[in-house]
Amino acid sequence: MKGRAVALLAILLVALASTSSFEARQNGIGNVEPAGCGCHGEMTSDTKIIVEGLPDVFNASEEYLFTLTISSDKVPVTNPDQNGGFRIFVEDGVGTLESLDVEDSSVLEIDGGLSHNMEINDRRSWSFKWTAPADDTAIANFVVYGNAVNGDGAATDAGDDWNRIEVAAFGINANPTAPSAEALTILMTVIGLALGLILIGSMWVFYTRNPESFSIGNFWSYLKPWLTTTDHKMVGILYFLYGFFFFLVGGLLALLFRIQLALPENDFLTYDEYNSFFTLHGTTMIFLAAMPMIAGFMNYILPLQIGAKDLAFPRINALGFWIIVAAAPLIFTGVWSGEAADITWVMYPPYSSLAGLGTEQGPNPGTIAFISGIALLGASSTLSGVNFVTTTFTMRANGVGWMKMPLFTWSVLISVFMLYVSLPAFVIGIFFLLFDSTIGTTFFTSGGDPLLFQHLFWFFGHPEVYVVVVPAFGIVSEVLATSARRSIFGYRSMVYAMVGIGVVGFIVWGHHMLTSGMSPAWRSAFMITTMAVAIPTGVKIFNWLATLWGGSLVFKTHTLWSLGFLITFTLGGLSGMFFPVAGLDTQFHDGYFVVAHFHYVFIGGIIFALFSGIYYWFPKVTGRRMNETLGLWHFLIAFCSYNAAFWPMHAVGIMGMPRRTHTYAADSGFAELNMSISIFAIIFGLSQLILVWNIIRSVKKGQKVGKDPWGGWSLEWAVTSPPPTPSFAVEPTLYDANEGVETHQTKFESIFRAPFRAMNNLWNKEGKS
Amino acid sequence: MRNRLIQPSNRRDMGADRELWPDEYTVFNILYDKFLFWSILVGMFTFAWLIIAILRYREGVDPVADKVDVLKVGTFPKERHNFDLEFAWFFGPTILVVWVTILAFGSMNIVWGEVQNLQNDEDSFVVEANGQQWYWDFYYQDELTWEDMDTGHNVTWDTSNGLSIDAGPGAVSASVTYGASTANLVLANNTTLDVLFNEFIFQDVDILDAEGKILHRWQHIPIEYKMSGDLIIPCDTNVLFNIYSSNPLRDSAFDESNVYQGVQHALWLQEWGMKEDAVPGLEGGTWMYVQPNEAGTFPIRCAEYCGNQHSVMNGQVEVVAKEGETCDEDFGVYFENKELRE
Repeated sequence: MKGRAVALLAILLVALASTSSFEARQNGIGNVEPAGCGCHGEMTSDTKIIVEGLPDVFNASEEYLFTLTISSDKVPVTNPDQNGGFRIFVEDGVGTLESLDVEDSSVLEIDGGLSHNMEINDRRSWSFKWTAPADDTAIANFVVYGNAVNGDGAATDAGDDWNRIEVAAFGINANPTAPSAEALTILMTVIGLALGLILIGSMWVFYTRNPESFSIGNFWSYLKPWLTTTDHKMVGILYFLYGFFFFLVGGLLALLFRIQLALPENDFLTYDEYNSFFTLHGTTMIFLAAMPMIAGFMNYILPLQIGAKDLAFPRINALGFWIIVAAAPLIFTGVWSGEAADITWVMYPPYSSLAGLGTEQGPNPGTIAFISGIALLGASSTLSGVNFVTTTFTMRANGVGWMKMPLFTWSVLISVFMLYVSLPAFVIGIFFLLFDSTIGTTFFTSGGDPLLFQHLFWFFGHPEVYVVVVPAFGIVSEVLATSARRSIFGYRSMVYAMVGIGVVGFIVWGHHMLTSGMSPAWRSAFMITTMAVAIPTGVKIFNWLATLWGGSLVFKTHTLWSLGFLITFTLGGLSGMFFPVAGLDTQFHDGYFVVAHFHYVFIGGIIFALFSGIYYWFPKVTGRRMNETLGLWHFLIAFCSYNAAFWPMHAVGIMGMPRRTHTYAADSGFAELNMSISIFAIIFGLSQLILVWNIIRSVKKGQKVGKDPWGGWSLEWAVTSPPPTPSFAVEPTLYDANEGVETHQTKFESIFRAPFRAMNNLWNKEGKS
Repeated sequence: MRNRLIQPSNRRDMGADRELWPDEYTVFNILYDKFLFWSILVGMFTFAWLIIAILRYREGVDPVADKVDVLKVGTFPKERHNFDLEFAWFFGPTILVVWVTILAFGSMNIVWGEVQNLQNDEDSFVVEANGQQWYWDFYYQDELTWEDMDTGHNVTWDTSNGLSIDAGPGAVSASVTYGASTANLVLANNTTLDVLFNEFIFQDVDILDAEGKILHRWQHIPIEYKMSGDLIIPCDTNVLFNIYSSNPLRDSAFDESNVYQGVQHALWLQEWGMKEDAVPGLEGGTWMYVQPNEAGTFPIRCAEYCGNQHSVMNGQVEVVAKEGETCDEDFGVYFENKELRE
């Protein structure tokens, strides 16, 4: 077993090390022969290349004349037509290079440099003019190839000889920088440091608990269960902590670029930094924060709610977690040098597939690692999807029928089912993108179809939104019903509504691409389907309101967050109705109105529900209650500052501020609103520290609680807090208060159901006969 | 050639004295108002219900214990449902959705369907937009002769008499451009120029005052004329945009084997609430149109993330009156479609 693992690791390492050599692209840039038309013969030091006239130190925008001469004792000058060739370019295209030879027009411009062609290969000396760049802190690295040719015809290379030199010219204000380490080296160092810090930190915590009996062996026996666990509860906690950590990281990134946007024409962040920060913010918040946090809840709560001992595939579950642990550093590669991926979370090609170019036109160097990291996330999500669907189908305890499952379980089932069905499109898109970036395929670049990726991505991307928001519905359903001290109103219609969202969610993806030249018929179709999502969502919201009506609402922190969810999610849902409309989408698309809308749905919908879930199930996980006073402050500050920060974004969007802009002009009129958005966003960000403090404090000092602190009915409240392992020693039974109760049908219902009843009768009769 | 028309000194201050909101007479504004109305209605209904429920049925206010179900751990509680109400939850949003979909359909054809008809319309003014990293190139597919309105000056340049300038008070000199050459006329002595109008050549007359400030502009933009970043379009006409990204036909050094053939952009003219993506490699490009109704200078922005300097891919579009015309006519969907408006 160990041998196989080592061999596998070795293969992976070799594969990783050899990745950078896959530079060949189909006739692409980067593949142009170094000497233009190709150097003949061998590279030897016999060919001397002399560059005269280039300065050691240049002034801004000054012109310099220089000559390039090659000489070779071995290769005589014989042929009046063919004697030598050259190729010259400046790395990164610093300054402008021109040829001064008479046959100027015949000099080839290739890949940002110059090369001879047939007209001027009758000599071994050429003259050039180089205009220095306006930026005198730049460094110009001239790369010169000289080819001495014996003139016996191009057919044979024998006797020809070439060489290559580099000449550097420094701007007068340039400080030659120390050689920088490879991105991979920096990354590995940072990961090592981070792991070391975490290790030392947890060691210190362990030490302070019991300084007398501290030993490394003890510490390892404390740590090892966490690293090797397959228990759904421990994996759930790991998932949650991981997601919560990245929630804070993503928030930090957001605050950094909110500082950048607070003032017009600000230069707090560079273009590269800003672009990679918002890319990482989006990806982190969705894939590394929201999904793992939800996965944490799923892992912990779902098996308890259906009375299962564990998940169906505990090891696959643990594997899924450790895969996303590996994905995070890949996604963040390059962030320390400000050169992390800048391809936005939607990763639209052809921009994103130009990573191999290494030019200004293409994305930052961190992009390929970023895409690989996303591919890993796809793998992890597929594993979880299989696991949860199987668990819910096969491991329900006695009495937990389909229509007896708690709504959170239902929501998770629908969510992972959507994830599982939509992921293949995404994974295919991601891998094709990876191939485009590394081995030179052209799925989405020139010759391919950039719009295909958008279809693949949004076929996954839109259901993905529901994948994260449907469990949030589940959490809110549980919290509101329990807080109102009654069962949920319209349980069945809640389930049908969620299933409806799950189904309709698959046919709305085109509304993300309404302005991409789609035919009007398809745009109309996507408009109708998108509008239709509002119907099941409306059913859910009215059911929640009806649950509150006539109950006895207890105001705990989790209740407040769920009520907050109702408000903000309704607002986000209403602004969502604006998008599929022709005349409105053409203004809102890729503007700040979209940013406002999806933050209302993501924060106001998902994150608020998750906060609600944290306060609600915290006693179950730790056996202690969270502090209600701190919770109230957290709610008040966060809810108000959140609305103050994101509401004005609607206005900024209508005024015409595009999203993903590094900065905006002083006379654009966006300045005042952006300043206020930034201030409230920072307050919102800082208010999360109250939650962090509340969690840390309550783990140790929270008030102890029993099995069922809030008065819920589902099976997770039947076990002790925290639950034992395995969670149920004996398989529990869920009783049903509806048994033997006469179901009452309203008159309208019986009319409505009559055709179904008739069909049912017919069916039964035929079955019997 | 640099476009001299939109100079900082002449630019109208975009932040201070113009509304940032899109034009009043656009599909956007018609529909936005309608959708906002229905959203507010739904929002008020929902939030009123929520607030009343919270206040009236909170713990301690209504101590009737039998109203509360007994929740027992490990027992699926008694289901509370009412088919009529649940059907209403379903039916209400459905009616609303059908209604707003009908509202929205009114704009579907005008915004996206109509553009195919307008391509064959002789009266449409067509501009080809070519998105580059990180600027726009505009190629005129129709010629445009325009002149500033109501300045007290007048410029005539025709094929029979050449150029004649009827300068009003304050005018000192005129800068005249004919193709690549520019000349200065001192208006005290000279108000005519013996050069005949040529529709295939860029021609431009600026009347200047003593300080060199532009008082009046006259310009002829020929077919296939290229402008970078900034753009001039006529009012009271359907202006069509044919949008490309790095159009190979416009690039003399285009290399088919090159992997880099442009990236995605989106041309956003916020004044009329219109945008459309520039998709690299899409044959024929994408189309959109706007209906400028009033003169003015408005921003052009790129809405689709296109790389490093996406945020500075901005320009300006100036709406002008064609020579001899004004922008006084009421033009656009707003004025034509009574049913959309109401």
